[in-house]
Amino acid sequence: MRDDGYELEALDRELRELFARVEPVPAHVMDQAYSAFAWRGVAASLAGLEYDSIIDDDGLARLRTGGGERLLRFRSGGSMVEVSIVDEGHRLVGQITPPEYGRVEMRRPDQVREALVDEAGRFLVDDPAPGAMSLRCLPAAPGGAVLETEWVTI
Amino acid sequence: MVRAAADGSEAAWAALVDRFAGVIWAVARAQGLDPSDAADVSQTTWLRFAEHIDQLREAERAAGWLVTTARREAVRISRLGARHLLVDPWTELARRDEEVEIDEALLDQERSVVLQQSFAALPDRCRRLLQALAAEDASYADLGQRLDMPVGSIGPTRARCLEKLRALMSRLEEGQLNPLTFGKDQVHER
Repeated sequence: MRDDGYELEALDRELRELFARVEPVPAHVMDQAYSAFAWRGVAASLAGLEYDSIIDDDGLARLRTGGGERLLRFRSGGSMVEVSIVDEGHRLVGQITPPEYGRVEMRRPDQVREALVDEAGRFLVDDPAPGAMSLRCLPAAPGGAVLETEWVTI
Repeated sequence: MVRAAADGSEAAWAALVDRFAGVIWAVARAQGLDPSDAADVSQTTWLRFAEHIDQLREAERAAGWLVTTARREAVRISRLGARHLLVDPWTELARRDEEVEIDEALLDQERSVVLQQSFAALPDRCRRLLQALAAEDASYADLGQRLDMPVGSIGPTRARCLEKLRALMSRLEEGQLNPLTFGKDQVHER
């Protein structure tokens, strides 16, 4: 009982110290967090991040991109989106499988950029800014499945 | 709260942000990230949360999910940074000197994250009380009025809340808790 009391007082002191010195979250970070609500979506149509060369480095990235670049792969059922960030971050090269004509929206928290997808399922975006990114792949053919990739930081 | 946010309540979403933004920030900074990288961790984590919120309808899972996601993203971004640096021998030597200091600072920060994560999982009533008690040396009478609590209950409630906090922390530290269900008994409680 006595030991318990001392332990709780020590915890109380620790908590006070925490409140005194904990770094407040910057206002703009809070604003971004509140705003993320607008991106509320239905996870069913999501292509999950299956591979990220930053985390899962097994030499595949070096093989595919010649080294020093980042490779991401998203999958949803039988569909896949591969993204290579090359030229020291200045170029984003995408590949959608199965390939078909269409367009892709590169969604950032505060803007959306569009790129065309060719018949081989390839697309290109120049100078993608660092930060959170999600791709929305829209096939040209009516009734084609829309693919959305999980948000990831590039 | 999570259910309400999933159903479109912006106020519920804001309440979740208010409760957990600090922990996410602490996790990112504990990874050694500077404020702009930590901001990216926070943003991606909340965007992912918005994406997955339908699947996270069980409020109890939200706390652990947020911390786990933030931690993964923080590791990801910390490696991104390393890839951009040209590592030369002199930098490497200087870095090793700093490592001992950094290790101690990191231990401190880890403990701080555990404390913040556990605190965030406490019921509203406990968080309000402990925060009010820590913020100022107001009398129990003043606090009782402000928090709408009988004065006689403040002491015992404080002790119970600290005990809850202690229990959450030791479970987290001992790793006995599945991070996905952490806070299950707490977040739900009125």
